[in-house]
Amino acid sequence: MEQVIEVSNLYKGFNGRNVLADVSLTLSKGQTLGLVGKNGAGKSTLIKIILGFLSPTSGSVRVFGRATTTNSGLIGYLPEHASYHMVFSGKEYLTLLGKMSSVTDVHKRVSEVLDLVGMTNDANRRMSRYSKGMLQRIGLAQAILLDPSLLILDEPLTGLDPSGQKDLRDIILELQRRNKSILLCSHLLNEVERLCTQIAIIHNTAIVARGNIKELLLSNNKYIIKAVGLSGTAALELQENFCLKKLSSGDYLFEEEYNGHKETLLRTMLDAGAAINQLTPVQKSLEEYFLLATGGSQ
Amino acid sequence: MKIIYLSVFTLKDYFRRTWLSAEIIMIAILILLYLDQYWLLSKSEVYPALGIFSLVLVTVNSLRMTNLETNSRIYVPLTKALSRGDYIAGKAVAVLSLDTAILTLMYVLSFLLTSVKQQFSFATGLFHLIPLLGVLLIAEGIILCCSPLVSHKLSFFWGVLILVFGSAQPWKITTYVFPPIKQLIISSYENNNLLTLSQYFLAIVYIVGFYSLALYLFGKRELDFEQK
Repeated sequence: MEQVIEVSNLYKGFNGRNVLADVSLTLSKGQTLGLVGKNGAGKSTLIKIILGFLSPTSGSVRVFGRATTTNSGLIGYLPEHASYHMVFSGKEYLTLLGKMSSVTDVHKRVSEVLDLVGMTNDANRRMSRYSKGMLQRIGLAQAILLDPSLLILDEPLTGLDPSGQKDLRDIILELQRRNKSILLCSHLLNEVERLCTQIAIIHNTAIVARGNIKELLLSNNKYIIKAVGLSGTAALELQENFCLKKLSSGDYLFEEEYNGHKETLLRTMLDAGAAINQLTPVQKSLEEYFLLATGGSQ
Repeated sequence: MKIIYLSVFTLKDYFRRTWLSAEIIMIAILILLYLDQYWLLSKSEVYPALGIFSLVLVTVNSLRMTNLETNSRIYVPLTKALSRGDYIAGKAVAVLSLDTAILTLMYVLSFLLTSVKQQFSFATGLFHLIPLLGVLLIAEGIILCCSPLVSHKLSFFWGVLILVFGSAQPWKITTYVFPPIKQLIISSYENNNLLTLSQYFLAIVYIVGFYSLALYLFGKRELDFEQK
């Protein structure tokens, strides 16, 4: 699969202190990668390096296979802080940005993006009079103005009310349908879980977990076993020998302790005359996974 | 065209933020200086006044306009299809356009009010503004180079110091060391000779040198204004 972002063995230091250490990650075309981490973990620094605003101390960062310094105009960026040129109206701001980027038929394109983010009715109001949600929409509109194939969205849903969050989430889902590659940085883990296909957890300057979000959350040794036909004695014996926990009638929770442990249990259950209807891995929530990966629960 | 649109963007933003308050104050001060028997002022008084006026104007404007985005707002234009060179050039063009317009306006006013009209025709007088445009270019290059956007907050002080020495030329030995601001102002109303041509050459060296340095430094610098 074509790689849009390739970060390998990246180090970044400020005043002799490493802000990022040995960071490697990739984002493939059409995927959405969630970058999560505590405050000060190095997320913003990593984004700025990918955007070419900061240079790495060592390691390499390539976007679309090119050095980061040559990628202006190829990436749409929604900054974390809604800090725009507030003296303009939304429409005027986007038009000027479009003109300076040599967008063909800029007025048509501005109307399209305003429509996509649902700001057509407020487009002519001064941005200083916009609510936080409106500014986020305009921020997203400027990010997609040049129709880039890569979007970097830094905390797009933070500070929005639930309906604003839903609206913006719908826009992001629409962008995913348009096959955009998205790097989404957020503190809202449930949103990351909903929107992202990949995840990278950054903690204490390093990536501590990365991969397909579903696989990571399922990379769990716990299983729910639905079995019928076990006699009371056999069930008690299994509970004792395999640490099987009875959840309800016919439902058991099993935690695998070593390779082949699960298979031994299943064989024993079958030998005891049980009919196994289902074996389902227990999926963690992203929050649980994040806390485990970062030691946050301690 | 990108550069032109960025300068239009910058000028609109600057105008709506400031309503040109600093420029209006500077114009008012210059007019106040003319109040006493302005009709007697000759070219040797008007052109130095315009020269110093443009020096102060471009210093203030370069600092204010090029640093409108020494904060997180810079990330939006820079993620558009603009190189860092385009960005710096757009800012420089914005400052120069505004200051050239104001300088021309002040020339028209000076021409109408003072005795310059008895010494120069309107067109000749306008032609004699060219060295003052050189002053604008030199000062802008230096301030741009020493601005917080390109180098560091404190370096602005050094930029102003260079301009002060360039316009005062306190020691004869430094005539070819500091930027030839004083010489350019004098050459705007005096007859030019071979020495003046060498000063023009030095001015071009300064202009090219400082703009190139500004481009180089801005191209290399880490843009992390958000933390400040």
